Amino acid sequence: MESLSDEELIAQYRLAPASDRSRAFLEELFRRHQTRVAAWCYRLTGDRSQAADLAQEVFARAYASLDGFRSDSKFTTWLYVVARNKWRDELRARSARPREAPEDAMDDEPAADNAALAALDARDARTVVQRLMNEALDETEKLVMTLHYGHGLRLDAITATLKLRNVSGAKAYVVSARRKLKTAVERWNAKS
Amino acid sequence: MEREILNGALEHGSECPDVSHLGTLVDGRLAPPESARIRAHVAECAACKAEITLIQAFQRGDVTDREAPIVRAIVSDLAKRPSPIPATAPTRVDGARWSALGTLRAVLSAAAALVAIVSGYYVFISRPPQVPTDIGAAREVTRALAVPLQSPAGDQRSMPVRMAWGAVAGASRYHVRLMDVTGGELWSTDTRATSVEIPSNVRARLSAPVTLRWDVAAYGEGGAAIGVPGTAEFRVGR
Repeated sequence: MESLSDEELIAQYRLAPASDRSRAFLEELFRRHQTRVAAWCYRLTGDRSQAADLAQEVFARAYASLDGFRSDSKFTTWLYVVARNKWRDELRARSARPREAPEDAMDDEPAADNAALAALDARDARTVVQRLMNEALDETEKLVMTLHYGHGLRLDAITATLKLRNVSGAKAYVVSARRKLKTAVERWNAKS
Repeated sequence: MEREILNGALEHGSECPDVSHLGTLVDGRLAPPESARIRAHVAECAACKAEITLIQAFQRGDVTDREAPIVRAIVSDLAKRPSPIPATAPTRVDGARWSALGTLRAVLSAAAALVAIVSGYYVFISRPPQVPTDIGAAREVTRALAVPLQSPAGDQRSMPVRMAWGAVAGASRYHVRLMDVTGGELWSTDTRATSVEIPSNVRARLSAPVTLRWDVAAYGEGGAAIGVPGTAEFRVGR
């Protein structure tokens, strides 16, 4: 069974999904990816207990959705989408609850420094921010900012994912990027 | 305020391809025209580049030295929890109906075994029942409790504009969800009508070929659920 690929395990399972033998194929499949999913869930949550809860829910959803797996992509990729969507559902549920202070809130940024971005017309903000980021930031700064603000990833998770070796990891890139972006937005506002 | 602006600027937009398509691109399994189109978009899109970075990181499955003992502990935690795979993997039906159908299958299994013994054949009780007509009838009974979905279902030439279902007696509100194949919610709404239009910005985000699921749950005046949600799957562009 260990010599079977992920897709072969699923194919064997589908031959007789109601049989006890099919359970063994799925157990092998999930066992193979358990560490990967556990590590990913830990990066997303930053908490051992929450990570275990999330990982269990990811596998439960993977099992429930297994009919939807096609060979369009590898099973690992499909499992990534399952985990990603499950995490996004969790974030939506959290945002519906009373807001807690984010653990990596930029407390060192005074409120007045938000004025530059806040002055952007809401309709244009997305286009302008993306354009100014392309002009002002290097590739790593752009990627870190996008992972943090666009994808909601924790700073330590970004540091681990990108294997950043600098002392402060992703935080240093965010601080630098925000400073550059603030200058770029002030210049933009002055011209407009 | 700054965070909200940055969140809005850097998350996926309506023009971004579905994440599953980005995954298929990473796996090198997209047809050339589709691959070229998505590559051109990714070259200009920070959100999609970041998503691809995450997909690749997940595929690698790296664990840092700092993370390793915690991840081992999480895996150990998972081993002590109930398996996500049921003890006897059931035939494929939606979750809300598993327990009711499971009980019915157990009764039918016993009935089938009794008939087989009386007629002189030896039957393995642990095997799923071999009496399809009764099970088919049982499924019809359970389906009568579910919201009857009408369209879309099956293969679609283009992205459907409207989803429609049959009325449920006593229902004052329906909660409609559109999901990807993994069950991840793409869009949802509440309505008193028995059909709803999929917003154009939602449809624009979904590029063919794609398989989608949707479900509708019915609720009475007091907010109590009526029956079980109806679910359906449809495929666009296959």
